[in-house]
Amino acid sequence: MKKWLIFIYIFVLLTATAVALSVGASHLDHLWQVLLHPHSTTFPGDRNILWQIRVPRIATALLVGAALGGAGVMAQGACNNPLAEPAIVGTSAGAAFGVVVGLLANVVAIGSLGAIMCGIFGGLAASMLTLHLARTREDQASVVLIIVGIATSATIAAMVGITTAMISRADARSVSFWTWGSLALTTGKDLWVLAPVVVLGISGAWFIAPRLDLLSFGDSTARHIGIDPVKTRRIALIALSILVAGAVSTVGSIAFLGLAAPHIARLGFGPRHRPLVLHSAVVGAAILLIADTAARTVAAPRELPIGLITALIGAPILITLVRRNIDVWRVQ
Amino acid sequence: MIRARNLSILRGSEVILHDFSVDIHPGQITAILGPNGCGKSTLLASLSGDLLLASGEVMIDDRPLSQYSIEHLARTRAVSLQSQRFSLAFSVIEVLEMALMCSGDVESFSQAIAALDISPLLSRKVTSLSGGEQQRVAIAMAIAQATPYLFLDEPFAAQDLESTARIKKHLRELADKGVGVVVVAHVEEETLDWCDVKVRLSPR
Repeated sequence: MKKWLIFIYIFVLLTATAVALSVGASHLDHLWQVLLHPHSTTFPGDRNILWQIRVPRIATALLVGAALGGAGVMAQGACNNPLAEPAIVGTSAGAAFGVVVGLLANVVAIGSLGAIMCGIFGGLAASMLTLHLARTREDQASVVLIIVGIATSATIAAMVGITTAMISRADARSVSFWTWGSLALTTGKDLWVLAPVVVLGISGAWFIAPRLDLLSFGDSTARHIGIDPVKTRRIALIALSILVAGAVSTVGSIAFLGLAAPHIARLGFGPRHRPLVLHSAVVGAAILLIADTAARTVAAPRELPIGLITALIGAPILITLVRRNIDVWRVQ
Repeated sequence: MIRARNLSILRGSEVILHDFSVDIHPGQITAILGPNGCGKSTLLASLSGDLLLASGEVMIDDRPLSQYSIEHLARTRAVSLQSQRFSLAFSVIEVLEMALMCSGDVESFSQAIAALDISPLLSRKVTSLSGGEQQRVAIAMAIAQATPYLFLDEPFAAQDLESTARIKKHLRELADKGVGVVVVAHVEEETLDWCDVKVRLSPR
């Protein structure tokens, strides 16, 4: 439809990356030298700040943003509901609970593959519980799903808060981390776990995406033309849980991005799920990187909670786009 | 042939259909008639394999319906619902192509587009169509599946006289080619010459 839009998104993404590299709590005099010569020891101070703090943090923002953008597409597609997002259908809270329980049981360490596995199980269980509780006699009813999802998320988030209060370990993270999210504690080590998890989740989303197009006709019609709605939804929820668990176990819960990114991408490129997965991932990555750069520089050296910035950036964009193009998703 | 034997269907504790039997023959148009709420759509859903039966059995070509996989069933019968909902703004041609990619053949696809006068709609968004136009798209999706059996729930309800006549003519052509057509209609029409077999459900 609007093919040139992807170039604008990539341009925004590159510009945001360049800005994110050059700004921060401390000014780097030799940014370009240390960027282009990572192994040179001429400017050790600048080199350490850039390669051990800034670059891992930017890479984490891009990966988490892409994960949440893809996760939003899976949540909306699986529920056939424009308001579904990981923070509403229970995936985020469930993933956080899974990780916290794993930490409490002393089975896993934060940022490890084990923690992400706990998050995947928690997120999958919570989202399947939401969908099961919201099931009415007909297909998934839009309003029921959202109400049940908000209630399920709130219940599990409360359990996360109580459980967190019971852990006295330093690496267990705070309640505010699990509720609002933060990239301040990420290290380069996290990336080696996060990157393959995000690639796996996006691949799963890419694989199931064409069947989500057909699921949008409703469960009965999908079945009539030969698509198993139950199996399709289960695969989409697994991809959703992998993406959300990767994001949540690394940076905590960041609400709103999973809702906004797919809508912004859909308005530009149409509703087909397969291209949407990639476009939404690019949009999510760009928004989260811009938000995180703002979060760490606006009030430097203090950090603002990232969730506040994503809402501040994403919400007006979403409202503007949806008001101008109201016909893109019709709710029955 | 589809044999439905001694069907009983419950919704909760409410009996929707009790001990009902019907045969659907290839090459014939079977009309299921009756007043609102007498279980016509429920009967169609049970023949489509969408419902659990409290008792009784549906056999399609001497094989129990329960033994069909979802994919096999999609090559055996096509269904158009009374009101097909489209939530995403796909274009009409995209919707038809997606349905065609699942099952169906290109010849039936182009015949369905011609018979239902869908050509003027092809580039429009399905979400912007009127109810009658959306229903015609849904009927075209079902016809494009090119299955031996075709089930249509209230296909004329939202159509004007001209498209009603056109749909009836195409259903007759399909039946003449051997398709077993089942049509649910809620009004007792003055003329029922378009159908071969009439199945009347009495009000509950």
